[in-house]
Amino acid sequence: MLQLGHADASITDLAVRFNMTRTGIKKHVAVLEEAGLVTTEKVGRVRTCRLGPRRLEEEAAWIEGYRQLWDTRFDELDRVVEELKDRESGRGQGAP
Amino acid sequence: MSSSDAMDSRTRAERAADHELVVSRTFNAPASLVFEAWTRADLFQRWWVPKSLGITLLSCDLDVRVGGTYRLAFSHPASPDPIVFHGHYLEVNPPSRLVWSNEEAGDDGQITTVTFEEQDGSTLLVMRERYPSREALDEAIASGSTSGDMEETFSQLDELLAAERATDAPAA
Repeated sequence: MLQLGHADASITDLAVRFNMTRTGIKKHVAVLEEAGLVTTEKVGRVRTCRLGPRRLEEEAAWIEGYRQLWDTRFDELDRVVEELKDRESGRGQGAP
Repeated sequence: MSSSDAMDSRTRAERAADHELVVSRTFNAPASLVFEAWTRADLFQRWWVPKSLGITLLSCDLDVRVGGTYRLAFSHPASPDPIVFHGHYLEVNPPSRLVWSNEEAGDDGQITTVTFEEQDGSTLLVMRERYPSREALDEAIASGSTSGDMEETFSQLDELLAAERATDAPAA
């Protein structure tokens, strides 16, 4: 899975990378494909494997959570910055 | 690449490049003020841990100069011990650029760069978290760390800290 995150790979690539037989890799890939984690496409004699829709959805959900964390922080930062602005403009007008 | 940009929000986040997360937002204030809020401990601790996250900031030490350290300690109901984030400031260029390391996970942590770009009185803030490799960011995403799900983040972190304590001298 992590390997496919880097680049699409053929069954042969994965067999070499993980020092497994092509048959062994095919079994693994079949299980992952069943679960929606990997998709494969056969072109000519080569079957190419890439990350499946579920894995990409999980990443998108994670990034949305990450964005929300920062959005919450930045809302608070906005308040702090607004206070600093008030302070600055107060100075500009000669107020304390 | 995946990105997230809720319609009604001013904060954008995306995975850029293979090993980088980018968050951006525009503030209606000069860069000097946004920079000040990031670098003064008394201001920083008011926004870094929003109350809605359910965690408490125990201490916040920021020695904002090149080579200076920062250390943030939090408590969370899910964690028996304080959770500590720490690292060094690598670049400090007021009011436009701040770079620090994240060392709680060891030497392989991400490097955070924040730039403050002022235009017409507003400031575009861009924060980049650069992981050492695509694998490292994939793993961070897979493990749930850094996500908005703080509960999960902290339980992960707790395991990490426990592992660190097992190999290190007593934690500071």
